[in-house]
Amino acid sequence: MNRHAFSFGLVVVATTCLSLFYTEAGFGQTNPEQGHDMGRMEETGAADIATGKMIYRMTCIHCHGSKGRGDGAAAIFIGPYSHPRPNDFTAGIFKFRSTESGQLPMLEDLMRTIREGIPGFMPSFRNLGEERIRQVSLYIAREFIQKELPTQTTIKYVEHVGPYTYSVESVVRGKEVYKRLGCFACHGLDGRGTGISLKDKRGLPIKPVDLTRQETFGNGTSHEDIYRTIMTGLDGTPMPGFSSQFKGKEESAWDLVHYILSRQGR
Amino acid sequence: MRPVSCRWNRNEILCGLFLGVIMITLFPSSCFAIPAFARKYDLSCTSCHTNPPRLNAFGEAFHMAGFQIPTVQEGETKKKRNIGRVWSETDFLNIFSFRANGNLVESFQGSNPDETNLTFPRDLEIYLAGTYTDEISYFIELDREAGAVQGIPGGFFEERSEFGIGKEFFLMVDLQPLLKAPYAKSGETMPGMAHGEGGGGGIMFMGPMVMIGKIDPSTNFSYPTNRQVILNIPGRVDSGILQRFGLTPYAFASKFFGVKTADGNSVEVTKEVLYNTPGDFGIDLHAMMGNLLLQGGAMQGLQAGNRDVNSKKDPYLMARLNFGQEAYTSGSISGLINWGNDTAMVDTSLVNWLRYGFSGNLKYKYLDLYGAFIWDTIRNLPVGISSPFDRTANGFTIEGDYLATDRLLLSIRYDQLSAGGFISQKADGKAIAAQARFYMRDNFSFYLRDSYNLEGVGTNALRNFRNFVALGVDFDF
Ligand code: HEC
Ligand code: HEC
Repeated sequence: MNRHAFSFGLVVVATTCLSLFYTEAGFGQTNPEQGHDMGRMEETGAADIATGKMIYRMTCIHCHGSKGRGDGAAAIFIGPYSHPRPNDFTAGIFKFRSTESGQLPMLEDLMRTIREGIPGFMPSFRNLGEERIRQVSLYIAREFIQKELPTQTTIKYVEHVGPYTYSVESVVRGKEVYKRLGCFACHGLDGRGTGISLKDKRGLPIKPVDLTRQETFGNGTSHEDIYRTIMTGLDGTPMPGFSSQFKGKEESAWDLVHYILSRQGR
Repeated sequence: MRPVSCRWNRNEILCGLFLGVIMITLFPSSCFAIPAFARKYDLSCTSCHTNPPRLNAFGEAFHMAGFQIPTVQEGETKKKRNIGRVWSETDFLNIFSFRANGNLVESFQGSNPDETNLTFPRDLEIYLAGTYTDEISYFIELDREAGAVQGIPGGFFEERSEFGIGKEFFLMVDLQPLLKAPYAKSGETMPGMAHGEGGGGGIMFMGPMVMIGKIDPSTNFSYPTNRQVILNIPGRVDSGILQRFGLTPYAFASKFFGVKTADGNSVEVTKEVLYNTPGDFGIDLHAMMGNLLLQGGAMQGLQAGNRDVNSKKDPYLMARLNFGQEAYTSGSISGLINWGNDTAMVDTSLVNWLRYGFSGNLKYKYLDLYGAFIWDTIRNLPVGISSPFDRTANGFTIEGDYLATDRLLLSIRYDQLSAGGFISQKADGKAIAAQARFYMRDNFSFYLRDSYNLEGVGTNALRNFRNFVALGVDFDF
């Protein structure tokens, strides 16, 4: 009986202590730069950042980590022993951009990623609504990236018009471009990938996407999305950006897009 | 040595194999636990799970939010949520999952009698789970369990194969929108978010969430009973007598020899009971504030099912504190108090049951460590019972799972039981289990496991084996 009275007491006391221990800001979420941050926040609207922070802490934090390093508790199992893993926002390397390889994404790029999600790895947050998606993007930019994001891109996004509409001729030309630019080295002649072993920036094994399966595309599957992927590349992975190869003849990138679409039977 | 036996008839096995093959060939890549959710949100299983069915921090938040992505009601998938349109093909696959798991070959050594069984996976489960409205989610499990040991009156047991509403069957209702102040949904605030004082300093709220039906309250405990990597070993019954107890995590077991349910059925000493029952009728309320989760509720009574055997309920309170949100680390510690109100019977008198304990969980990189220590006391024991009775008992279970490669999961578990009950009947138990699980594909794995009785073989049904080996399979769609 005594033994039990003791252990019972222990449980009660410990549970109470735990409850007291719990603080408003929460464990591991304190911001060392709070004071300093407040000044900057005023500029963009402290309320936006505050809401963004709330959203981040309620959901993103589990994967992206309290410091935005991509080391959230749930991060490591997303692709165990392989790519992808949430990226380190503080390192400033982003896969999904409309800017040149090596540059930071625009705010719209962050918003697109959050809105659409990343099939297989990150849910879509479309139902947050545009305003909240903007707020959480602002929070990421201020808190983790800590640099001004570009507001425009030097890559030229041209329309697919005239001879560059989706047609058999365009697909045939696209196949040539595919060979000329060496896409096959990684993606294989049939687009399904080669056996070569590649690593991402973190040293994790990564497979080139199977171009015949649109459901594996992380950067979107629309014509415009694929155009953007080819131009910008996916930083932090072996997939290079090809904007310089298309400089001055941006239209011909559409041929390549059409070739990929044709490989998917679209 | 008993001849190799089989617990399923041939038609059942053929039918099951056929189903399995069809499922695997038709739906090659799928995943564990509730694949329907993965399909619905277009995510891999490991977005929510570490080693299914174990949840990672995001999976816990998803569960806590009533099977929804926190902050987002229904994500992209609002159109898919209506249970009324269940049978339209793709929508259905977003709420439907199937699981078959259990041993294919199992062998007991050093037991009386030794036995080797060829079995078809004991547990077949069908889940329907999803959200009905933004605030109401449902979870229905239909389950076919072969050879489950069940207590019957007179100190006897039987093995049953049952098909029906399985371990869990409940509605989850988010009460937050009803509680307008101080953190109701408004144009300004997020659902589940208090107004912050001075920019972003507010507390996060989730819930309060009610679960009603056949629930497993321990689903919120740091060591949830319903998420086990090393499966339970079934017991063995011969002509009404329990020859060998099953092997379950001892911390959660009933622990008392000779205790009956309030309506007189025998209770297996290793049966998971009270707060840690994997599914019994009750009502549960839980809410999360910052990193603190509070849970309270009441169960119908020890193994009482949906019958209101003594018109009293078994209330419980649980507090859990989460920690870690970086460096690939997360974890929690929980404290539990559970009161069984006239819930059990010793001889012919109803007795109260006090259960309390701790559990903890630490996840670091590919390691998942969790354990529980639970004490039980029988209160108001009648004077003049038939023979001396030990009113106290405790159990301890600790498990570690380590994902050694992307395909290989290694697990080890230690169980210790300091039993109570009639002194003439009781015995303590200590067992260790090791398991290697190999994933052929995301939704299909084989495991090889070994359990070793550290107490040594004895005449008591708790110790009626020295070593147990099994080869089993786990398939999910
Ligand atoms: C279930 C885990 C998970 C959750 C929750 C999650 N993410 Fe992600 N996120 C990921 C993963 C994994 C990646 C990397 C995917 C890849 O590289 O293909 C990622 C990548 C990103 C990227 C950058 C992609 C790039 O350009 O490199 C942004 C921005 C992002 N997430 C924002 C968010 C925000 C904001 C939230 C919360 C509203 C959130 N994420 C919630 C898993 C998650
Ligand atoms: C050095 C190897 C390499 C070369 C060369 C290469 N890729 Fe890739 N590509 C990759 C890898 C690796 C990925 C997967 C990235 C990931 O999973 O995040 C990828 C992904 C893609 C994707 C899918 C992006 C998404 O949305 O997830 C497309 C489309 C693509 N590549 C097209 C091309 C085209 C077109 C070319 C030639 C102009 C090309 N790639 C050249 C390695 C390469």
